[in-house]
Amino acid sequence: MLKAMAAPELPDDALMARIAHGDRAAFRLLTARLYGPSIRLAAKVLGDRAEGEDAVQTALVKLWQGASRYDAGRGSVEGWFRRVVVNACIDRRRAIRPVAPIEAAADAASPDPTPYEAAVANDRAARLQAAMARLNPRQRMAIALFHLEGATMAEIAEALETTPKAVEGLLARARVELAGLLAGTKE
Amino acid sequence: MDRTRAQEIIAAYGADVTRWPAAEREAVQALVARDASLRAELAAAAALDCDLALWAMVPVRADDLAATAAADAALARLPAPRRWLPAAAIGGSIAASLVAAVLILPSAGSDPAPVQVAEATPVVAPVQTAQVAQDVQLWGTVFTLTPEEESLI
Repeated sequence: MLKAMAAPELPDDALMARIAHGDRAAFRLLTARLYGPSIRLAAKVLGDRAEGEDAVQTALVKLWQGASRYDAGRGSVEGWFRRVVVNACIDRRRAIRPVAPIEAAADAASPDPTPYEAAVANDRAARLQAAMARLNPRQRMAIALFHLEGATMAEIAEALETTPKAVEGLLARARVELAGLLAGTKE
Repeated sequence: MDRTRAQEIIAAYGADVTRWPAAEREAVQALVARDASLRAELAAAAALDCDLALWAMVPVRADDLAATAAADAALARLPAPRRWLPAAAIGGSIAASLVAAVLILPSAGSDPAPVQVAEATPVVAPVQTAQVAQDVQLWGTVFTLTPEEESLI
């Protein structure tokens, strides 16, 4: 079992080694490190907090089960886990359908009497979220990794298991599609 | 660097020059400076960047409590681990099985007449004893752990 005093200093790959031997404390500690970026990415990409949580849980189960197969020589734990989260999000096809049509998002009004700027911001965010839901999962993931995570083309390519050049094309098509969808909903 | 490549970069990376590939950055900027239509594409990309930045800013709660809950939920979703009985329990089970075999096997297959068992002739008794010994040996073969099985306990 993990010693509480030594745990915070353990690097991710050492925690992975302990998880491979069934150490649940190591699993909880590593989850605490990886959870924030993962849930932000999953919730944004899937457009729903609960769906994002479910995708991250699926990824965490895979982390537990696959810890013994993790090879530190092939990349960081963070990068490996991001790839697992990305795949979990892409696999959740049920969740990628738009909850409401983008036109409805354009008409959506906040139920609370917020200041005008906040209402405009909420409306724009809602329209963008609805437009994002129209993209295919890989396009949406590329957008999220680039604009949310600040990932480089090489990092996105690694996560999506493709080439940086292909990611450029994916992002370009996604942005064109997003711009078109947003233009169609502007008043 | 040509105009097509500059358009590709703006389309993929957006208007934030710092995100453009370092090796091509200056050349794209130089092209944009002398091409009005590229500047228009850059302005459109900047507008979309604004929307995306706004989208990215909408917070997602990710505190320690949520992380712990996620870890516990993931652990709860794991398939149940295989449980091995302690060696003592297995030994006890084997002993109980052997006792049961000794008590039950002699009457197995014979007529259910307790009186006749008491009156069994000396000729029958050795046959039954041999049968019991054979059965006990069989049970012992079935329940004796192999070295591989013992290593798993």
